[in-house]
Amino acid sequence: MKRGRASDHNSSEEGTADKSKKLRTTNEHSQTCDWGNLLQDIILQVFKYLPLLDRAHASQVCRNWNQVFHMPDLWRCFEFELNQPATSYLKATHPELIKQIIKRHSNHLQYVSFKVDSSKESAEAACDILSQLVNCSLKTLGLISTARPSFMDLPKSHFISALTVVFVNSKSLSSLKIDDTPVDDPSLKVLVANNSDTLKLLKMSSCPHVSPAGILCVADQCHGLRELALNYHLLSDELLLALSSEKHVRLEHLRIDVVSENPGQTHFHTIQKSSWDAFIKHSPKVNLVMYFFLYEEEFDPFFRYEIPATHLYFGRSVSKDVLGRVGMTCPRLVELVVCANGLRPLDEELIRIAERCKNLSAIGLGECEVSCSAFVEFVKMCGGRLSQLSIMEEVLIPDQKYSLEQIHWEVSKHLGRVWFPDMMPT
Amino acid sequence: MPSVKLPSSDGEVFEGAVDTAKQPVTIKTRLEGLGMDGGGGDDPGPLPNVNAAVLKKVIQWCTHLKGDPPPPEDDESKEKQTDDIPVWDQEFLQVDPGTLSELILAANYLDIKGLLDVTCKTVANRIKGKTPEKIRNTVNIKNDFTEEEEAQVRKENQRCEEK
Repeated sequence: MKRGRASDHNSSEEGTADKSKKLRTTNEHSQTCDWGNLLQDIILQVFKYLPLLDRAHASQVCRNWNQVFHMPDLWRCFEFELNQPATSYLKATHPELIKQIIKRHSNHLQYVSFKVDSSKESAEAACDILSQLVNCSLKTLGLISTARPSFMDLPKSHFISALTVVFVNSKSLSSLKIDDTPVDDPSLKVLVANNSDTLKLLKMSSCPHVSPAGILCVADQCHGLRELALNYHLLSDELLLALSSEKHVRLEHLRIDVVSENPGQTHFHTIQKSSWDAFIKHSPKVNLVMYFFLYEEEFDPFFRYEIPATHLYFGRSVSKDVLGRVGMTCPRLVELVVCANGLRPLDEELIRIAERCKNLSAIGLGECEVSCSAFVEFVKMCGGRLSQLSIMEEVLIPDQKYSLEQIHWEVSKHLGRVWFPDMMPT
Repeated sequence: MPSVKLPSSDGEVFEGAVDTAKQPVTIKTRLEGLGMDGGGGDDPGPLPNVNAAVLKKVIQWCTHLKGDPPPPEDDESKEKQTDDIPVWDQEFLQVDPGTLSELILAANYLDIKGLLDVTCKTVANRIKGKTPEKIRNTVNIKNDFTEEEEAQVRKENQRCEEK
């Protein structure tokens, strides 16, 4: 049942308005080989797979492609890299490009991040750009310091006013990363006043100007918050309870940095067990990640009762006693990293962790000591669930049963895959 | 598998065994309209913008898909990858630019997202790392800028190179 050539077939009869938009220019057969005049929608799809420089080259190919280069969809996502050439070898976004984006595309931007080096000038440049984003409705904003946090060097008011521009203009911020910045309670109030319905992620570790009341305001109003990162001084019973209220969604990720700059200088308050219990009851699958940068004598308030921690990192030296308490109080533990301990072997503590932390799947040990026998016992008890086992070679102390040469074989046997300890690079 | 006849834009009828369940909606509608024996009811007519050769390749791709899960939702904030094209698709798409453009158009018209994605990725891979002149040669495009326009565009694009 052959049909004649369908050149008189009216394309507007076909399907929906959407289709007829697509068909607008495809009636000639010469069309199909003409890449230059290919539908802009299609070229747009191709351009979405190209990084900026390739897109720029493609935009020089012909007028049609050049038009596509400037279409809003391609300017939704941008990372401003701000580095001072005199002091940094990192590349930087061209100032002319920054101007062009602010002029032509500021109301298209939705996902923006700033990567700044450790110089005050770079942080200032970032604030300068932020202040100009008055036409933006951002969904995500990230301020990343690649070296020493330079946002902290700025006058606080300068930073706050720049940030407030974004908070006020973007009514649908969902992700905000402002670690190591001078953000404060009033600016968080502005954030909440404009974006409480949409905020899902907030990372603000090391923001010294925020108080527990400030973050509590966020938890009280932003019921969709799923991921939160902050310092221990902001954690309170009220905060945990606010995050566990009926109106609040289940939290997926809570990261707490417990930091002490100078020994004995900081007082670490305690959190009630009942607050943690309420917290875990409301969000049973939450990842609770805790980073400890404390001096050995400052661990007193911690690990006194059961807490739902899943990931623990000890950045400085932590005592044998504390690690023993970890085994007793952290049944949900999934990952444990100990950078340094001391010169007494952690045999008992490791065995206890293997016994009581049935979900442990990753462990890293730095300057510690463990006897080979205890280590093999530990691995045997954990078995194949250990997907990451990162132990410095110096950690393992040979004994009567195992030498260093034998240990990797024993451990590999119990893990079900080939394993070697980590070597210090020489 | 039933045998169907599917008329295309250049008058040829694509005929063959087609597993109807696996075809995307637009083709499925055509096949249903045609009826399994190819003769029943009102013939809804050929696909006006897809010629037989391209249609054959499209159906070949769709059949190969075999109910693979649909591609994951686009995350607009992440950069899109182009290094994950399955080997079969890579070989399937080793065609001249003309055929590739027809495939893209067909995928767009027939609303076959998976095929559109993989063809666009393929084109992107052919463009990456090339100067504008080389790109023109790859896809046979004529440069229609005036000299002034081109100088302006080149100046703008130098900004996209990192300092």
